[in-house]
Amino acid sequence: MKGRAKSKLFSLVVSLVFTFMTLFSAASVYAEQTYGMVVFLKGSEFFNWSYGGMQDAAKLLGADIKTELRGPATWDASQEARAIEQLIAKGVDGIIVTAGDATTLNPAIDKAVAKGIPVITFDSDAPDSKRLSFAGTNNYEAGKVAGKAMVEWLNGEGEVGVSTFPGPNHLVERIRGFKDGLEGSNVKVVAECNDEGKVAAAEAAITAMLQAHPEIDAVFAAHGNPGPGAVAAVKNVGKEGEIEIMGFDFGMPVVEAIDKGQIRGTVGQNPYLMGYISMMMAWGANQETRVDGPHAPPSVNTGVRILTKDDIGVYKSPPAFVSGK
Amino acid sequence: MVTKMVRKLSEHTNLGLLAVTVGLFTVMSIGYSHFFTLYNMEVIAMGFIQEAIMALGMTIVIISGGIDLSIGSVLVLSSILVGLFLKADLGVALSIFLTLCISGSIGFANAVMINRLRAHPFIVTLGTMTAVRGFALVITEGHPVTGFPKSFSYFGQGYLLNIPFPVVLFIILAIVFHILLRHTKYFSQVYFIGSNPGAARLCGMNVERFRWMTYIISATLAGTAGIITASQYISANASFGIDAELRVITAVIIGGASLSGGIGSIGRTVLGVIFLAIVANAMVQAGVPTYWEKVAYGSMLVISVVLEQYFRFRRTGIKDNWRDFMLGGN
Amino acid sequence: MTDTKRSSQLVSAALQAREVQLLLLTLVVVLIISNLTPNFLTESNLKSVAMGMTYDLIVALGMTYVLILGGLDLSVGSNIALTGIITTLLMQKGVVSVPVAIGIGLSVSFIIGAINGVVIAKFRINPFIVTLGMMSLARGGAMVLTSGYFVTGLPESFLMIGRGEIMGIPFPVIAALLIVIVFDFLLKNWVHLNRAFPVGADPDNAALLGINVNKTVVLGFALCGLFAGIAAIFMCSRLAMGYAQFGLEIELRALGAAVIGGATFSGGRGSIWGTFLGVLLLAIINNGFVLMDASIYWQKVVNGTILIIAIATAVRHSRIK
Repeated sequence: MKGRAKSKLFSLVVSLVFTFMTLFSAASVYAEQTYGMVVFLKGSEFFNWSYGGMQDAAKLLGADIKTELRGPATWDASQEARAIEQLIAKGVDGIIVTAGDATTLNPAIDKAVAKGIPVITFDSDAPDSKRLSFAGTNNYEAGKVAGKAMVEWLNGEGEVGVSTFPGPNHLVERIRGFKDGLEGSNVKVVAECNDEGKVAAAEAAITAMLQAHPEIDAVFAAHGNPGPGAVAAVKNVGKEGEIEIMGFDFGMPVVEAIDKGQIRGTVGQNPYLMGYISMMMAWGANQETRVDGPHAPPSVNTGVRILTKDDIGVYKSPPAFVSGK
Repeated sequence: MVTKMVRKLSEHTNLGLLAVTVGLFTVMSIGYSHFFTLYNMEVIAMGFIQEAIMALGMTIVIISGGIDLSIGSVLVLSSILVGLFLKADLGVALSIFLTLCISGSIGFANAVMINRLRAHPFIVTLGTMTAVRGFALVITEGHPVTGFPKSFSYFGQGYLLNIPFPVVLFIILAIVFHILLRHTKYFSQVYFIGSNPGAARLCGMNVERFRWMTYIISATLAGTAGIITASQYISANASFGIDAELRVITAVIIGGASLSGGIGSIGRTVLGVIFLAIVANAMVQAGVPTYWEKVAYGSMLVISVVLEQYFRFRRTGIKDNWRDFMLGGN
Repeated sequence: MTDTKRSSQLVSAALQAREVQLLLLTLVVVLIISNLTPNFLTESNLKSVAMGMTYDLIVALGMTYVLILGGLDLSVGSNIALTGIITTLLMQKGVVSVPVAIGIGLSVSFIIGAINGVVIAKFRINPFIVTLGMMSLARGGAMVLTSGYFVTGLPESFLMIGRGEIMGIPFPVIAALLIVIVFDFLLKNWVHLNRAFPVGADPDNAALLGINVNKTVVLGFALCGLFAGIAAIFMCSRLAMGYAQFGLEIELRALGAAVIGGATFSGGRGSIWGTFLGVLLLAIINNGFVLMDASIYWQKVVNGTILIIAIATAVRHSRIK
């Protein structure tokens, strides 16, 4: 008897699951092509820009092209590899991926390529894989540009504190580039603090760093999150206007702080263009052409520049997130 | 006859979940051409293999009335250690052996601390979880460990009889633990100890010694999962296994084990693992918007335990005592 | 003679109190750090330590209460994210005025906690599982609402809550201290809150004594949710944004602090001031870490070790008793 009651209820649940899935997937059954984007941290404004670029390109290429976004909500390199494998199994027509840890992703990327699915990396490359192309700014180069700008800001002399967190390879690369960018000047990095990658933890960490090193003239927030924390920290030690802050990327809080003059500038990559170009290249790889051979360059540099108050205006309205099409 | 079969089946597995799993599988197979393919079956299996292997150990720990939050951290440490040992030219066999020993000793340390400090396993393993992951960061300083010998890649990428080696390993382990829990005197103590440790002690069972065993198994399996992960991706990264313990516990609980101890089985856990593996794949196949995934997992967990509890109440008419389900139960 | 004997007894009794031990330990840590680095005992550093621990503190108070009840709440971090996002979205879109938005936000946090409590009490399901489910649900909800975007452009009057100062002390710090004092007083003296102790120590016995255990548990979890909501308001205001990633892992820090402060998983025990000192100790140690330029990679190892040591000492304490 209990079995009957139970199975009745569960058949209800099954039908609910069914409705749920059909609701979300009505479009996908008829879509002719699907392209997937895989990121190592879902729910980041930066990657929303990239996904926006990807969607705009897809729209341009045809009404029957569908896009979707996948990836872990907390960073785990093996989970990102799994996301790629799930998309391969789904039979998508192209994968655009930002490699949180290249070495871990190589096997998954190669598997996709072996299945005939073009893979484009963006933002963080996986150079040793068989990926078709890379669109983005080399993190080392971006760090270097930041370093050179910092030398200019400080007129060639001063001490810098860096806010970062242990783990991701792109941060290691960025900071290596930053230090190399300072080379040949009297600007040097005197401290690094652990902001745990979190907006809320950055303030305490950076304040403590500024306490320990009162000689610091500038703070380099090495990723998107600690920028606003650096603003609050500088205020905490009463050195507003004395300590320069360089942010990274253009998340809304950073954009607003630049607008208010609290952050002097930010290292602006072009995530929108990364997504746009990647989509174009992935689609292009699937098209018939009159010549054989690779039709994508090994890498596309989407550029990097230091954005200040004068040119931040465009970034005040990020593209609205629409999950798929 | 049919009812008899159903009853027999329900002893071994969670019928409701089985119905949902089969239903989901059927719906997906009909609706999506890329779902029911050999390749996708492999992806489904391999997409949840770390959790599957760890879930076996977690089942035993949970039946015994405990919980082990440190497995995700043991996983990452073991993947890093095996990489470092291999790079130190210790040879594949010795590297794996050493890694498993170290993983097991973390489990042993957990059990000793729970015994000695009379502290709740939750908080003890929370401590080791933090410390061990921290240690993984200290060793690697955030850099991935790479450059393993080719022969090592078999454990994560090899095939045995056309089935991926990790899956074969999981099946063997599941059968072994199923037999141990069902048919050996020593291991079947776990149910009695889990449902009433005090009485078990009075009956002369060595609850403390038994706890060593459960946590060593759990940690060693986490170590095994770590080695497989390292081999699968031919690299080790300090980010591996974040939140894995939560996914593992979810699988075990959805399978029908109870955190109050004494309830659960390998069969049920295997079903829970299969269900979650299929769900993870189905969400991608069906194109469920990415941000809804977390909502779906949360609701599945809550709905499954609520239903389970509702039917248990309907069946027996007895509500659990407060002591039995709040954390202080043990 | 007897006087000195009694006073020495008093002293040793006081030394056995968890709070006193913790206070002494904290003082020792302060002494060590301030000797190693001159930057510790400066006004602005102390201010930033105080500000940095505020969110953890408020959340840890609710967690302590739930631990006293014999449960735990893993969903507080996600509660912070969802509450914060609902509040900031309402303000950003200008749907309602600032106080109303805050009121709605706090109600949401209270309701999330109450749902936890109802499911736990009504279906008698382990709080770990229920709040684990809620943790995914609420975080997922926050992500669905924002798709990962920051919610910014908040009215200036809202930002003043987190940024305003009285005599150089930030509002949130003052508010948190007030909450600690009031909550400690109420927990000890107000019968409706004090019930948590008999309920946590022995729920079935408490029911026999005529205490409505269901109601106490539901209200306890709702209260824990509300504390998370208060932390969310301060966090969003201070950082001038709502964000779906707010409050990650705060539940683990709050649990750790409460356990260091003397709460146990078996229920019936826990102290507000103990928790306060637990949060303070962790905040000071983490601050010292940065001040002394210790490697960022060691921080997690040290935090885990502190937690284990805390459990070890907690047991010694209970044995003496």
